[in-house]
Amino acid sequence: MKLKDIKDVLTFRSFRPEPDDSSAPWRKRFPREKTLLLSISRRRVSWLALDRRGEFTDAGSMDGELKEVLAAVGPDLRNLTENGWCAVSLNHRFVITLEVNLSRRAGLEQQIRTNPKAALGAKAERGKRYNLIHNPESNTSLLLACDEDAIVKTEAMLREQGLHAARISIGIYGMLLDLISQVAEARAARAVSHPGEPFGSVVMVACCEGSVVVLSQKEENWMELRSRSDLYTDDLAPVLDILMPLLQNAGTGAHVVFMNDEQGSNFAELLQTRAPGTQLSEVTVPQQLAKLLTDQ
Amino acid sequence: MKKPHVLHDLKNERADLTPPLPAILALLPFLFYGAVIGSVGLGAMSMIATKQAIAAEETARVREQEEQAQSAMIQTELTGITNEQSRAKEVETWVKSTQPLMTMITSVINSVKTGNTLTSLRLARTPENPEHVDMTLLINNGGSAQVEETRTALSREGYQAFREDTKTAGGANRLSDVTYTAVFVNTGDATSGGSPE
Repeated sequence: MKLKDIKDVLTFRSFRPEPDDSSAPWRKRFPREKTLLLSISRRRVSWLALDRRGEFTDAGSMDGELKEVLAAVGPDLRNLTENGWCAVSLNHRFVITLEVNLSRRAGLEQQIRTNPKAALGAKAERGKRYNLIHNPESNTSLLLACDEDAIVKTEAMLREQGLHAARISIGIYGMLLDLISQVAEARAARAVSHPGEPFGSVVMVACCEGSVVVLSQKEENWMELRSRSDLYTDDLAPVLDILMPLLQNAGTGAHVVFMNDEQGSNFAELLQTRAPGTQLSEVTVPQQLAKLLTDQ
Repeated sequence: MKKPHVLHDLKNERADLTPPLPAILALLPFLFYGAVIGSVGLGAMSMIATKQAIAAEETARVREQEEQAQSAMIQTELTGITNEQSRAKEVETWVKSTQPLMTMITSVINSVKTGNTLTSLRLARTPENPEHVDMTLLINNGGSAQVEETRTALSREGYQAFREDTKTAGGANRLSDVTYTAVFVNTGDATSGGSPE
């Protein structure tokens, strides 16, 4: 037993998950510790600090690639953390696809991290990292593929500034999973309140720092999915170009559920202009992306 | 579908990642800190108790010294009282012992005629013969006449003289200074009615 182990026991550190233990929630990994949240797009980096009380502070952003931004404000970003730990949302160099009839054997979601070839077979590509979620009520699955090179380089660039990535995720994929979860809860609640009535079609739209993903669902089945990164800057109008075909395919009466990385977008007005009368539910909460990154 | 509580993570998983220790084992550091705090507390209590004991010992020592001093003072007073009592007993003994002589003294004093003076009167008894009273009488005025008067008075009180000796300073003068010594024994047959003269 090393002295550090004894110290960790006496400081109760050993009873908490390690900082880079991806299976543990963020606040359990970093209780009462200042950490940093980074949202990295191709030409823009946004950041937000999470203070010891669990409140978000010191928001900021800078145009430019990650390397340029870190060169400019790297030490400042490091000062926003206590031990350099940060959570990263990559908003580019990823693909989200809708897959059918993927294997559902036990432990596949874990295996896909370490050995994607064994998990996905011919669908797996070299130089990619994957995440997978199955629709429990149909044979469809969502598959996230991200360039391994982007993750490795991001980690290396952060390390040069004294920052350690405790989590690297695709923010928009997390938002989509949250949307799916909320829709599933709403469907379950409706099945209780209106037994036997159809739920209808739902089109889920998630927008995050220029990236967009649209998933249409009819009853319990995921029907279509479109995903783009670096599609827009501030104006959400290009999102409608992605949404409209899926909305038309979903049929009349389809319900749009929208989530953005931050509140205050003009998506509702844009949708009413392009598709008047469409039912819209915006489920964005303040600091939506930051809350997802910190498991809140 | 259950809402995911932990966001996905795409970074490299460390091979030596260790899970957190079971929460029940958190008792160990609590016990350790409790033991440390308890030790410090007990140490402090022991130190306070030691200081209190030392202070109490010092107080007891001072009190013992005070009581010893008081005891010595009482002992001194007791010795004084005992001495006083001894002296009082001696006086009492003396008074009691002289009680039988008071009659003799009164007779001697009453026998002195007007104009005669006694220079000294000494009565003595010995433990061997307490019934014998040695008397030495010095008369500086009255001479042998006064001696006769005194002998007569003592005889009336029942005192019988023997081993008498009279030394006269003025020769045949009956009124000159006389030193009279004798041993008297109380015969117990005192004549009532006082002096015949």
